[in-house]
Amino acid sequence: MAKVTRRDILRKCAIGVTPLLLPNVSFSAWGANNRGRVGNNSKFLIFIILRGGMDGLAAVAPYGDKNYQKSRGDLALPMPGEVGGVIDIDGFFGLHPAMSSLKKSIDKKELAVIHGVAIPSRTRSHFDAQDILESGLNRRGVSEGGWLNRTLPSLRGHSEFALAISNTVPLVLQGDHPVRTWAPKHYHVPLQKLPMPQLLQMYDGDPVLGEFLRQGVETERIAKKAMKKHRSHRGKKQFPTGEAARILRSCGAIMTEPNGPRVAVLGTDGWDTHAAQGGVEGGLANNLRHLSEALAQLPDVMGEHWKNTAVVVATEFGRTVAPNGTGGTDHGTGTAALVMGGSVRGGKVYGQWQGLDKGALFEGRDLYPTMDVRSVFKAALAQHYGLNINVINRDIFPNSVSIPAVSRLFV
Amino acid sequence: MLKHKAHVAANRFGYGASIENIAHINDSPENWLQAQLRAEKNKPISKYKPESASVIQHYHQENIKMSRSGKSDARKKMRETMRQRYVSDMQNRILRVVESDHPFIERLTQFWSNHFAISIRKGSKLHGFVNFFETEAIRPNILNNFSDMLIASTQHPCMLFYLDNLNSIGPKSFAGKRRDVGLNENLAREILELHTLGVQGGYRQRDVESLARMITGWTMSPEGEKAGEFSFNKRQHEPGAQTLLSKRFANGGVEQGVKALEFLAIHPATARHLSFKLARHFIADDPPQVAVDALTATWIRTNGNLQQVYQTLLALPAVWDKRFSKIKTPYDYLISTAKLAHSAADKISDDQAKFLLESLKHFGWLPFSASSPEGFPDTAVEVSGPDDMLRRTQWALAASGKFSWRYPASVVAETIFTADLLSHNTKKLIMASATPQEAWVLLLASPEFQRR
Repeated sequence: MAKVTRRDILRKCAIGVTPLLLPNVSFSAWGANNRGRVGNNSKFLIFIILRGGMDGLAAVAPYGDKNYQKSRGDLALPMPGEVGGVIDIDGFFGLHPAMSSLKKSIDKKELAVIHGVAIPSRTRSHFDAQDILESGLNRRGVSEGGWLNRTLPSLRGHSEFALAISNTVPLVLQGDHPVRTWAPKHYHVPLQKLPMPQLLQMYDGDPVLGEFLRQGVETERIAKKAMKKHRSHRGKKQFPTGEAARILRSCGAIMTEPNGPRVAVLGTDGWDTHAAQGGVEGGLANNLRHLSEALAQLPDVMGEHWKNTAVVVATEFGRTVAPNGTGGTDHGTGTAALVMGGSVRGGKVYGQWQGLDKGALFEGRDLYPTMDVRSVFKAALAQHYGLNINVINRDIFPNSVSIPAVSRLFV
Repeated sequence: MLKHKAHVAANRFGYGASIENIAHINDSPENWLQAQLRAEKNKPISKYKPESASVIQHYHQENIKMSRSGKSDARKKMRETMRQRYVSDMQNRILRVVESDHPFIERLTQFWSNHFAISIRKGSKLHGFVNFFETEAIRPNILNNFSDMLIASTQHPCMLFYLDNLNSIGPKSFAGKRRDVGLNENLAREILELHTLGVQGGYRQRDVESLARMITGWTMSPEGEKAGEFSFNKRQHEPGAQTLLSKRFANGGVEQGVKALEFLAIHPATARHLSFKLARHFIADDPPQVAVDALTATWIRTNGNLQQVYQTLLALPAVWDKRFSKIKTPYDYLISTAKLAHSAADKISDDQAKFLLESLKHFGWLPFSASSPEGFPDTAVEVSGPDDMLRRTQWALAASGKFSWRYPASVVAETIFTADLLSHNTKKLIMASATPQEAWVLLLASPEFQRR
C-alpha cells in the first residue's frame, strides 16, 4: 500500500541527523561560515502549502477572458474599478479584492503569479495530489521523502537545517537531511523547569525520539530568542493579528536568528471549498485575506534579508471552473501559484493561458494545466539560489528533464 | 510485574495497565479482551429516535429565526452555546474513556470514529453535534458488519453536513430542473477514497460522479416528524440507473445509494484497504503482509463482519510481538496518563478532564478537529517530531502536578511494564529523582511510555 513507501523515513531521520548527536561538533559538517551570524549572502526560502486545493481562478481572476463571467457564474468577481472589483495586475488578470494588502507587492513588482500550474499527475485526490506536490516526483508511491529535503545538501552555505512550522515533519521536508519542527505553544512550560539533563540521559539509547527531543529543545531556544528580539525591534510598527500572520511572523523571526534555519515550510488548510465559497465576501475571501496579510508583512519581518528571500505559495490542485450545485467548487486541475520576494521579477502573471472556453477546459471542467508546478520550484532553486539545473534534475526532481524552470522569474 | 502477553493486551489494545487492573489482565490477557467484546455485544440496542435530532432541529429553527431577524448578537450567542456544548461533551467523552473498564472497545470506537472523520473546522455549528456522530453512527456499529457503520455514518446529518451532501441535488431531479442547482461530489469522493476502496482502489472520476448522483436527496429533514434526522428527499434525487465500478444500480430511491454502499463495504479493495489500516493501527506502521492478508481474507469471507475481523486480528502471531514500535498519538499519551492516575477510589475530576481537553488543544489534537477528512494520523513519522517531543516532556511536567498519584512512580514503573521492557537507564533515573514529582515527570516522559 502507498503509505508503506514512507516506512523507512523514521529510520532515515535517525541516520540523517546522526552528526547532530554530538553537541559542539554538531554543525562542523555544515561549514563554519554561518555560525554566529547571518551571512550577507545567505538566501532564505519559505514554502507555503495551501492544503485542500486553492481555487486559483478566485485568487487570481482572469477577468479579461471573454468567458470569465459566464463560466464562473455566481463566483465571478466584479471588474477592476467596480465596487469589490478585482485588483488589476496586467489588464487581464486581477487579484481577489480580499487580497488588497498585496497590491503594494504587485506595484513594487515583488509578487509574481504563475497561472495554469498543476502537479505532474492527474488526480483529484487531496492526499495523492499533496503527496506528489511534496515529493516532487511524477507520481505517488515512489517517494521516500520530499523535494525540499533533497535540496538541503545543495544549500549548505545557506542553511544548516530546515524548519517545519508544525509539530511533525511534512512530507516535503521528510528525508535524509536535518529538519526540525517548531510551532507556537498554547501554554508555556519554561524549559528551565524541566529536568532536562535527566530527560536527555533517559533518551540516550533512543536514536529517533532522543534526537527529536534534543532538536526540539534547541529550536525552542532559538525561537524564544527570536521572539524576544522581534518584540523589541518592532517598536510601534503595526502587524496584522490573524493567526496565519502571527505564525508566519514567528517563522520569519526564527529564520533571521544567527543560528536559525534559512529554509522553512508552512502548511495552511481550509482551501477545500465545496460549498458556499462566496465571491467578494465569504469563507474563501476570508482565507485569501488572511494569507495576503500574512505575506504582505514579510518585507518588514525579514528586514535587510528581504532582498535575499523567496516565498513560494502552492496548492495541490485547482477547482472546477463552474460552480457546483452548492455554491462551491469541486476538485479540479490547473490553478495559480504565487512567488514573492525582494528579487522576484514580479508585478506580472507567468504561464500560458488556455482560456475558459468550455472546449479549452481539461476534461470539460477544469482549468487546463499548462505548466508543471515543478517549473516554479526549479526557478526558485536555479535562479534564487543559483543551483545548477543538472543537479536539480538529477538529485531533486528526477525524471523531469523535459520540465524547464520558469524563465527569468528572479532578477 | 506484568507478564508479556498482558503487556501486549493492555497497550496494543488498550490504554496501558495500571496497578488497579494488572492482576486481572495478567490472569488471562486473551480473556480480558474477549470479555470486553462479549460485554459490548450483549449491550441492549436502543431503537429510540436519535438524540441528535432534537438538538439539530432546535439549532436549525433558531438559525431560521435569526436569519429573519438578522440579529448578529443572537447568532453569537448561539455559537457560544454550541461551543460550550462541545466543551462539556468532550470533557464527558474524556471521562468516559478514562473510567471505562473496556479500553479495547474505546480503542475500536476511536479507530472507527477517526476513520469516518468529521471536523469542527468545517463550521461552528458542528461543535454542538460532533459527539452525537460518534455515539449514534460509530459506537453502536463497531461489532456489526462494516456496511452498517458505513451506511449509518453516511446518513448521519453531521457527515452529510461535513462533506456537503445536504444540498447536493440531481440535475435531472424535480428540484434540479426547477432551479439552477446541482451535484456536490465531495462526500462521494471521500467515501470511495477514504471510507471504502482507498485511493488505489481502482475507481475513476465517473465513479465518483455516479456515486454522488446515487446519494443525491440524502439530506436532513428540517421539520416534521423526522426533523433533525436523516431523510431522503425524492425531489432532489437524480432519477435513473447508475453504474459504479462497472456494476449497474437500478433507480430505487434511497435504496440505490444503500445498495451501492453495501456493495462498496464488501468490495475486495475495501477489504484490503481497511485491513491494512487496522493492521497499521494495532500492530506496526509497516505491518507484516501476512497479517494484512489474513484480515483481508476474513473480511471477504464474512462480508465485512467486524467482529470476525477482530478475532482474526487477535489470533495473529504478529499481534503478540514483543516489540512496541508504535508511537502513541498525543491522544493515546494523554489518556494513558489519566488512566494511570485514575482509580475507583480516586476518580479523575471534572477539572482534570478540562485540563486534558486543553492539553489536547496544545498538541493540535482536539477531538473531532482533524484538518481533513483523512482524520488524525497514527504513524510515527506523522505523530512525532522535534517540537512534538518537547511538548510531550513539557506536558509530563504539567500532568505530574495536575493529578494526585496514589503510588510512587518507581513502583508504578515496575508494575506497568514487563521486566525486559523497562530499561535499566529509565529505572535508574526514576529511582534517583530529586522529588516524587520529578519521578513522575520522568516516567510519563520516558521512551517506554511513549510507545504502545
